[in-house]
Amino acid sequence: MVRGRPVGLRVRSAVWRVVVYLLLLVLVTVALLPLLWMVSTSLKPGFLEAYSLSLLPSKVTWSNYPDTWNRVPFPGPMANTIFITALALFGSLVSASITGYAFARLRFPGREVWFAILIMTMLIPPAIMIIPQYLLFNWLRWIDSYKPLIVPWFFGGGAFRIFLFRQFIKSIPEELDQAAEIDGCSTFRIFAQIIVPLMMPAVATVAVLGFMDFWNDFFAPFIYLNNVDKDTIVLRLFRIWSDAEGYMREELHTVMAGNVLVTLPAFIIFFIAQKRFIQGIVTTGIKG
Amino acid sequence: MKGSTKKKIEGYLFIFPWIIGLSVFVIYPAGYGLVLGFFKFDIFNPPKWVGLRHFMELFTEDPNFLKSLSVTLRYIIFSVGLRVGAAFFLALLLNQRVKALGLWRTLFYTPSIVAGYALALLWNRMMDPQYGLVNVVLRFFGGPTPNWFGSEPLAFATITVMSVWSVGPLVVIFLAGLQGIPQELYEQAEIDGAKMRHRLIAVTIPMISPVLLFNLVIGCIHATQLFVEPLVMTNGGPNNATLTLLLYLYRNAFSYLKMGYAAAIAMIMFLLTLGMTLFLFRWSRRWVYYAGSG
Amino acid sequence: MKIRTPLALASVLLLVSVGAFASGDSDEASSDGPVPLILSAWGGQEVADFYAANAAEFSRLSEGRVDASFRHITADYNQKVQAMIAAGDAPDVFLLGSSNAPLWWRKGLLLEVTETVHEHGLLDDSKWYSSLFSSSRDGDTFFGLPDAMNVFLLLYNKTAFDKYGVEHPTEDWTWDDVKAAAMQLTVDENGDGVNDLWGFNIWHTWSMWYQVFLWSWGAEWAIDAHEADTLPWLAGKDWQKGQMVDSGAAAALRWLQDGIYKDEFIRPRVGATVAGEAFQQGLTAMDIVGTWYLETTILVDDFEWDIAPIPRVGKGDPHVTQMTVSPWVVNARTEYALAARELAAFMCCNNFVMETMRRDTPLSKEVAFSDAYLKIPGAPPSYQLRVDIIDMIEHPRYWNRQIPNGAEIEQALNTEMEKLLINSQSPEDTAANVDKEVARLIAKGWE
Repeated sequence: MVRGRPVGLRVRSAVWRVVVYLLLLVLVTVALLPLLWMVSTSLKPGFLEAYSLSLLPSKVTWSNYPDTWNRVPFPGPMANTIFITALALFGSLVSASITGYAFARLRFPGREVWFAILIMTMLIPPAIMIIPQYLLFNWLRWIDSYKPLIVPWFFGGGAFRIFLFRQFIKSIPEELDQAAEIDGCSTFRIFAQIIVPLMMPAVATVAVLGFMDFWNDFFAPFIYLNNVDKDTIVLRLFRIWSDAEGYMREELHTVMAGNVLVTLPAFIIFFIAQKRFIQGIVTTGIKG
Repeated sequence: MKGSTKKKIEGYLFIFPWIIGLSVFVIYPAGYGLVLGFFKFDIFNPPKWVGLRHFMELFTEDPNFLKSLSVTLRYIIFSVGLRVGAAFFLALLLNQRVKALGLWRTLFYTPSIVAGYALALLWNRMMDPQYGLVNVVLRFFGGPTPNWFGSEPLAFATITVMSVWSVGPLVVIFLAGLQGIPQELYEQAEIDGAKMRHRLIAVTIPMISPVLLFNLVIGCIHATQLFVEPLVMTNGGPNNATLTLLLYLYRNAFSYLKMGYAAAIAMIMFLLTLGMTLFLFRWSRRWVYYAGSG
Repeated sequence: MKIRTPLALASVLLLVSVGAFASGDSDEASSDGPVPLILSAWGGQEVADFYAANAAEFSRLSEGRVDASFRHITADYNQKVQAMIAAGDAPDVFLLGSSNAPLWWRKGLLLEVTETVHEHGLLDDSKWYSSLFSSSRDGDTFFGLPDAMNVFLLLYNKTAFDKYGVEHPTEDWTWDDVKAAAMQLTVDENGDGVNDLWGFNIWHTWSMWYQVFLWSWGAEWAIDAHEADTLPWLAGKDWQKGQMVDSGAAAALRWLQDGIYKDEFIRPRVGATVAGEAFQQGLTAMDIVGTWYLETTILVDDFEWDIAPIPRVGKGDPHVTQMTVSPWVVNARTEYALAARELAAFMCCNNFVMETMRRDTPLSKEVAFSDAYLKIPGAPPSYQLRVDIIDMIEHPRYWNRQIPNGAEIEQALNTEMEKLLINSQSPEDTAANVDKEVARLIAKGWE
């Protein structure tokens, strides 16, 4: 791409590059400062230092973490969250991939209409469904159980996920399953034995995105779970830090240690799988 | 013929679970939600028809609703504007063939991974007038140290500006869109002597306009759902300056047990979203450029 | 554990008799093992442990006839219990805020407990603080058994007072004295522009705190109707409209507003953060708190503290405050009505419960003054004041909100107070607007 350009332009472009990097540096600092502050505060030894300007703790106090872990306490809610996330993720992956496959490959009357409905459901604001869904789950006696947080995901798995799988399967060459069909494979076997192995990258993407959704969810657990021993971890933190009457003597470093602990799993998964993650956002975003 | 009938049935077999989920968890609740607003309902006693009374009350008697409507509308405009603007700007910067693009992108994405609740809690503490990070830094530089949740405009601004932190997905989408623009178009423009500003207007914006529209629509729907941030940071205050429609809906439905009244609020939210989406699509005809069609 | 009052004995006897009748057409299924009862309340971990121990003790006393267990519910307690009732999965006995009890009673969610009240002789004023029933009765019908009473006090950081040479608060203190001390106790020790200590603190977004503060100023509407035990909360004697305008409330409101913006001795508002942490972290020198707050303050060992009666307007004026009490109520849909009523009575009035409670003041006058209740490790010198103050208060008022739309009225008060505290509304307008909202919400009637 190197072409003969006038010298002036080259200088200008070098200056421009410096400006770009400087801007990026400033912006990335602004973007990450809250998180750095969160981590550094969580390691500070005491209440007063927690509020000081210095980002470096005078003494790195790792014991804040076990203290917070025991005080919240983390194990129960953590186990609940893992349980919910695992099942909801499993249900939505299985269900959305099957539905996505049908929309991508199977020809059936009314397919386009159904697909249009699928797209439209993405635009329905969830607010209108909050109360009726709550009443429905109440009628089913599902309140204060994990069912409202899990079962619906087994029936479709979410419009965005179906859409993403459909897009991905469409990009797989159709000759493969046509050949299998000629060999007498049933549609389900084609799906299970040919398509599924090929769509593992998409599955990974959806899994990573879904993990964030389920792990970080606040509203649904907040509405549907009542008993303290059923809390998800985000809900538990909300309950103990914000209950005015049943209040705990919270200190800033404890609160921040809790914040770091609840964010950590999502962080780890994000950094391991960031490529897939970003790929997924691009696919759901762009092709919409 | 036989095979194709089988295939027809098979198609429905495969999407059957989704159809059930759609009917039970989406269409039925959405339909019920549209009707419930005309009833008085407290969960414990049977619903009672009240006609348009809830809607009359919302618009003529209930100052909290009008305030929350205005808060939500302002939040949509400012936060979507800021977020889309910031994301577009960042994507443009990252598209300047920077080194280690993946790393930059990851770093800018990182704040968006933090759970909404944890982020709200973090910001609540960061904005503490005496001890929060923001005022500590401002004081260090000798700036003013306002009480961020102590005035209506500041509290609203805090929650709005905070939404820019989780702009990561938008950046990624914009960036992918920018990278999808054929290089030849820029080269052609350069040969035609277009300056950078002109290239932006003549090439980048038209080419990215479908992505822009997408981000606007999704952004507006998303902004209507603001809940956990005001709940955790301000509980809707001060003087309801951060009382969003969803927070007000929640209070009515679950604290005051006015399910019907809350459903009426939900209906307004539905109409609001519908109106916004239709407006955006209609308006976008003027500026969205689809490479395929034209 | 010694059982000293006849009440505990009565509970056991009653439970035994319940067991005996259970084989008949009663709903108590003792032949299938113990009757399972679920008890619920809000609160922090310390409180939860306390209630769990109470439930275990009740089960023990029942000699295997009842198996009571505690189910802990926090944050948005009322919403959660409502949800449980709607779902048919509610606790049999639960604590309910006095703000909601009348509404729930009207909605038919609570079981009547009038007989239980009479059986245990709880209306005998010589033994019990019987007037506490005001928030859980509707005429002669009772729908709850009071938990314990919460009285408001002036809490102060003794270490800070001594450090800055300020005299300790006394029974004579007026709000002017509080202000003078608070101004001396608002200090920026290291000169970094941040106050390390504030004189006074506001529990913003907690309507009950505002209420207590206003009443302690001797607002006319608090003193006016002292022929009655109770006042309908923010509403006037006619129970129809607000009363803030015709009262001394404006002076109280101005004190708060000036305290933040003019005299600068009140710690400014910090979003939805729980205000209570400030005192225990040593950030404020004085605070108006309910006695329940002392339970966790006792655990603080960074500084010394003590309590004083709620301040008054002028020397010689009466101490005016309110007592709040949350009733134990019985779920109308419980399968085991008899046992559940007894559990509620046990939680209300059993000595085992009352002697070990730290949160609030027990209902029994005898227990309230007993060593078991008062002589506990970590208690400050004036700890007994939490009981003495009950007699000291010349116009005790009981939290009673048997008016419609109580939760919304509470929200309206919070909102108007917020306007005052962010300096966007004058004290006079605040009072007028509260009255307007109270009238509007009462006029809407019971849903």
